[in-house]
Amino acid sequence: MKLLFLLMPLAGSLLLSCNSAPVALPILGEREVINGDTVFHKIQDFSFVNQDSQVITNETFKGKIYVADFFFISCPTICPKTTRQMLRLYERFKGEDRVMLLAHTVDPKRDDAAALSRYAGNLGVSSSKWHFVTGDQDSIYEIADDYFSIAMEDQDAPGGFDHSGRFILVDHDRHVRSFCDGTDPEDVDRFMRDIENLLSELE
Amino acid sequence: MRCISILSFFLTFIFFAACKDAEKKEEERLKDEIFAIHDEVMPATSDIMRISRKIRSVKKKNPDLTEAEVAELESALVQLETAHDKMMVWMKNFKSPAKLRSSRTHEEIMDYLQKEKKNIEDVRDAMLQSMKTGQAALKNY
Repeated sequence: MKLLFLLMPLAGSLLLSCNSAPVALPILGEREVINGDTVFHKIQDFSFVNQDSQVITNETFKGKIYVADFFFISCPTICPKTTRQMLRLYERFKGEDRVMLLAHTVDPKRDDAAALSRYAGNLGVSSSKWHFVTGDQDSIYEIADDYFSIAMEDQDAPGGFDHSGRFILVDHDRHVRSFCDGTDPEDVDRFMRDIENLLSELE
Repeated sequence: MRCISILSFFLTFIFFAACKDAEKKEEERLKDEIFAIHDEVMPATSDIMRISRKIRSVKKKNPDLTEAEVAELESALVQLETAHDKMMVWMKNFKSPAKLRSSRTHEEIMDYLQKEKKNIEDVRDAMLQSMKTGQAALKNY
């Protein structure tokens, strides 16, 4: 009996530690029920070219998780802020091969692979971690709509999300699991914890 | 006497520093006005692209359109793409007053910013007009 009393706090603390374990991130976006199975929104197929003129597709991120955002080199207001925050993510997950960054230019006419290569070079970042991609203008805007379809549910304002500075977290199975305001350092702090949380799912 | 000249030197210095500061504030205020216009319409670039995509898909899906109908869609497309490009080019070319200060006088910078304000207003108007034209062209489909 005495032993039981001694064990109770231990059991309690074990329970507490279970409760404080991070809750799995939800799968965001529209879902359908097909033949009794729930089908979640998945990022569609894409194919772009990065700063090293290499083709980047969904396969590039196989077995990994990645953060997607939209920018363009001559962007005067939002992008300098989001690039600073993306650099924080880059530094934080530099040694973690399972986390990748994917920045799409929304100005492919001016931001070709060579321009993106100069841009990445100026930031001093490696293309094995951070892909800056360009491609067909319609395809870029289409994929932007696909990424941001999950964010639109929460917002009244239609459109314009590719210029809102949002970061989107995509898991190894193409599901969107979290997003944040890439201009807000505190929201990015929370987002980093979400990335850590999602990484634990891969283990 | 020496004291007075030192004092007057400092007063002149403070006076010029205060002037420079006021000039800088004036430039920054105008720059903020320019960016308020930019920020107001920048999100519409996505809408422009969305309307353009829709027009292209309408053209593809309706191979039996008359010449006049195709011409209307195409002219709307050109207008949309030109307006989108105008915004992108404006952003690429715009120089902030902080960058100009080392090579231009305050008056020159204010002149430049006044012109840029007019330019971004033109960009805004072209963008809004192109969206109207695009939507009108799509109305029958």
